[in-house]
Amino acid sequence: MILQIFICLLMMAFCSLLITQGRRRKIWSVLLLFGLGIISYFFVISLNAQPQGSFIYQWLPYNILKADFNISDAKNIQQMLRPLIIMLLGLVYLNTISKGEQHSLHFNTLLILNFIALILMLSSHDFLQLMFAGCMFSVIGFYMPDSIAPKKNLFIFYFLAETAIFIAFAVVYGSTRSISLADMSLFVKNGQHKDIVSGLLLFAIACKSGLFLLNEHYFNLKHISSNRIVCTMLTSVPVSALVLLIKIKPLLNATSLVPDIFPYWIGLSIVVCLLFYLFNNNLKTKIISLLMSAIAFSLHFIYKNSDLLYDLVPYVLCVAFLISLSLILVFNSASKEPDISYIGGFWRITKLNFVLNLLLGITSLAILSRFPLNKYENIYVICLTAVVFAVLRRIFLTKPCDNNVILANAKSTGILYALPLAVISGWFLWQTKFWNFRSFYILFAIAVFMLILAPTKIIDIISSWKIWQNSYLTGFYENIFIRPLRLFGRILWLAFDVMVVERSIVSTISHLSKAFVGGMHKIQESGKYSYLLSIVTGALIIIVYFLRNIYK
Amino acid sequence: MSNPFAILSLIICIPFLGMLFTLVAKDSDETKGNNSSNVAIFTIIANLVLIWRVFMIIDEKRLKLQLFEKFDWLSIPDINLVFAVDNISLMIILAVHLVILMGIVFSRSLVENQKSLMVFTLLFLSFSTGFFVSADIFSFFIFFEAMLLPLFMIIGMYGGFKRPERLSGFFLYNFIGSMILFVSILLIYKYYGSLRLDKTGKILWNKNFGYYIWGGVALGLLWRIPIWPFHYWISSITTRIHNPLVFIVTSVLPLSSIYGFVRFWPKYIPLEISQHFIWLSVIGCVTMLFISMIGFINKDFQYKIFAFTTVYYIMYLLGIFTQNELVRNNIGYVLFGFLVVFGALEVLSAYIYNLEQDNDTSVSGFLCRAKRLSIAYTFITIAAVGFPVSAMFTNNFLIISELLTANIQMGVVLMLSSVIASATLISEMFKLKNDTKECQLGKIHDLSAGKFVFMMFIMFMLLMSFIRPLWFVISE
Repeated sequence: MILQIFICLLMMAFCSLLITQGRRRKIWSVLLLFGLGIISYFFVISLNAQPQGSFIYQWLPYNILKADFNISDAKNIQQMLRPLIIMLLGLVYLNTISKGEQHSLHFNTLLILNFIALILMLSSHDFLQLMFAGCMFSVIGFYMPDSIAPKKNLFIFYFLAETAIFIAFAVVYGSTRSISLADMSLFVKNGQHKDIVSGLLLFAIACKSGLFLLNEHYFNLKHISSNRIVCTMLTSVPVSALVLLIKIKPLLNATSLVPDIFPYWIGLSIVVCLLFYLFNNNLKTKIISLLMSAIAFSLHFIYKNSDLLYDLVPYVLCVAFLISLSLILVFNSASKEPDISYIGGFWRITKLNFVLNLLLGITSLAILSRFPLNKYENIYVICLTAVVFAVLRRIFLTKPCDNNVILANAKSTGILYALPLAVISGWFLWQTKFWNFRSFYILFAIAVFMLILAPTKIIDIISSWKIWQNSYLTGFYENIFIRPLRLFGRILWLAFDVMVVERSIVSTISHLSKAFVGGMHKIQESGKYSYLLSIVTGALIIIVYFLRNIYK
Repeated sequence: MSNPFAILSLIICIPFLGMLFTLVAKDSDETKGNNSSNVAIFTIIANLVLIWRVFMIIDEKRLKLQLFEKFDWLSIPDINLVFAVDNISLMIILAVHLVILMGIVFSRSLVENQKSLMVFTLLFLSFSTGFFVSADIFSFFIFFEAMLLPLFMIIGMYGGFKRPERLSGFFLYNFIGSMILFVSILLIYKYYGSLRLDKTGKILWNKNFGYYIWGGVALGLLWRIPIWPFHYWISSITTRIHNPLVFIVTSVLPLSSIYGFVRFWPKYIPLEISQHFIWLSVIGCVTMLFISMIGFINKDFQYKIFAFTTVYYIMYLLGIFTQNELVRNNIGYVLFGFLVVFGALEVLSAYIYNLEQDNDTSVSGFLCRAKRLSIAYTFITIAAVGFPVSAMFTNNFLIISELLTANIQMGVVLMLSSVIASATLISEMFKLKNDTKECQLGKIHDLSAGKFVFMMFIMFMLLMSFIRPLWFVISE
């Protein structure tokens, strides 16, 4: 089944790339959406079909490097991909109907290519396919922002992450002489430099997923459109970080370094992201923070090796998608004003949006309540519920803002957004059968409490603090790494290469050569006194030599 | 396997014949020197077809020299010309042909009198092909030195040097290195006769001036690699050249030394020698770090590309010194990918920066307006920084894995240098994509359709070299 989907998506992407420069791109976008819809439908209804086994193509058949190209049809992979293909369909739909998206066909093609890379990564059995798929995500991720500054930041972090993975796998291969993921246990038992491998892989995952202190490149995405932000976070490199962790977890645990650091790092990232979601006034930053917290939460489940991993992780991402959608609705209806300090009392102006936001929030609660969670996971879900509904209260139920422009131009969401959202929410609510879970009622009570009584004035005061502008990281890496590197390079070049090597050593050698050649030239120039001098000197040397030999 | 058709001699002679045709090709103000470059391009394409044929004839699974050809020259002393090939030499020959073809296509409009440039380029190509197919010590040395003659002519006439004494210094520098190598070759001849290159492992260390022979060979070959302390002369010449073809031809010089080390490799190395290899590794890593950092801060794009090539040349040199058969057998593939990527990067960068000079405008954001150039430049930069779109990726993986296993600290410094060199290229690419509205270049300055098709072909070759090495060989 997955092979057929892979081939269909590949052909769709290829055809779209050929058409992107042509006319009537909007019609082609709709056709692409329709095609993706059909594929998704058949994939979802084949829920109980038997797996068809793997497709294996022998890629590199050499003794030194045996690598295959795999597309696996395993049940857990199908389980993971089903919700994600629905989410992909939703994202493609969002881009197609969005008026602000000028290049929807091209961008949707990138999303499809991301999904293809996801299939490759999930199916990989060796390092090469894993690295290839990871690099494919990074290269596609390069094209996803439509502004140069975030593009540059993203690419540099992705490049560093890919290099770290490359080095780690090179060390593993050097020890085990195998690139198969199944042979990782050999390295864990007998390998050298396990700490370096674990450290590098941890760094790579942290960079790709945007954990605390390595998330500046994702916060910079606030300069691009909101639909591109959601697409980048939910289909691109952050998702590849999750799959990477699934595949290489034994290598991470090869030393005690990672188990001591990683869970706390994830926890800290989640806390920071939720705080940013609550206190940063920029809607796009809220979307980014929410998505990063969802990615970090998913990392937690993967790392703790939850049995429900393949079921739970895609639904966590779907929840993040739904909540992000609610913020995008607010953003669109507020005439694309990103700062919520200029927004308030919106429930009067856009009642439909308010209802949709509540519906999306409740759907998210319904999805989260069906999973059995431990104490800390429940705390995260409770905190998430609290902050989401506190922000909803802040936007819709506080006193109206003074901005007349926003008030005049604010409008409810169109039917193209509203109807599919309502249908999807209804479908999720029906699927989850939330009424059977006690946890739903607890979360619902918290949601209502926050909607009515969340202390928005205190939130507003704290929101005005500079720390939430995220400026502490801006320029951090530039000042810590790049500037010293440039300074050191300049010292090496000017002080050492020019002054020491060129002007001292080479210059001295060339002057000495010149003096020597000048001296030789004088001897040869047939001036009679210098000629006589050279004859006499030569004769004296020969006489002394013979005299020494005679009297030895 | 012997070769009755003398096909290897043919691939050496064809560029030479092309040179003769170029000499007689007529050019005028109308043709603007394009006739001579057309002849050169046709010659190289004809030779590429022949090289493809050679790939089909040889057994690519055999790692030994094949298709021997021997031409008797002198009886006393017994000096002959012996040619043979294997995968390594063929891949390098193919790469050299492709990069020189790229250089010719992109430098067509840059110089007024193209004829002499084409003549010496084809002569250089002929001699360098002869070098890579040499199968005994004398053929090796003859072509090793013969390559320098057209190189000096090209650099002297088209290098754009304002200080000719720098060129004389470069000539003297290479002369000293050649003499050192020549003395070693003479010693080998005295004690072992006209030794074939696949038998150099017979040279003993503890007899017949073995230490001097191996030391002389190593020194003579290292002389051309930009590793400290030999880096000065090569960098002082290469970084001042702005013609892409001249830069490419000059950058083939370190390649000849790396190839020399692959051929001249002893069967065993005494412990008292091998324990000192660590110093070479230290010097190599320090040089790489040094050059990569200078390339990072230097504003001249030519220095950045020179830094990139130096880092990788030294990396491959250190890979050979790990004494690992896997690395040595793999070196042809990685050098193929590296050379093609480097050549493409050089020609595209030179194209952009020549536009900057000719139009006296900034090039920041030029790639936003020039779609074809943007596609080609982005792909080549992505290949250069090590992403999996060329043979460099898988083969670098093997080599770096061996280097990291041999010495982890050295490997880390090596990777750091490689990251800095790659970051340099990435920041250049982003500078060209950052539209500050100062750039006055437009769509009309984009790559022509012909050049774009050619670059698509190069990108296709790189991609296929990653997907399936030796995909173009149809075994008989």
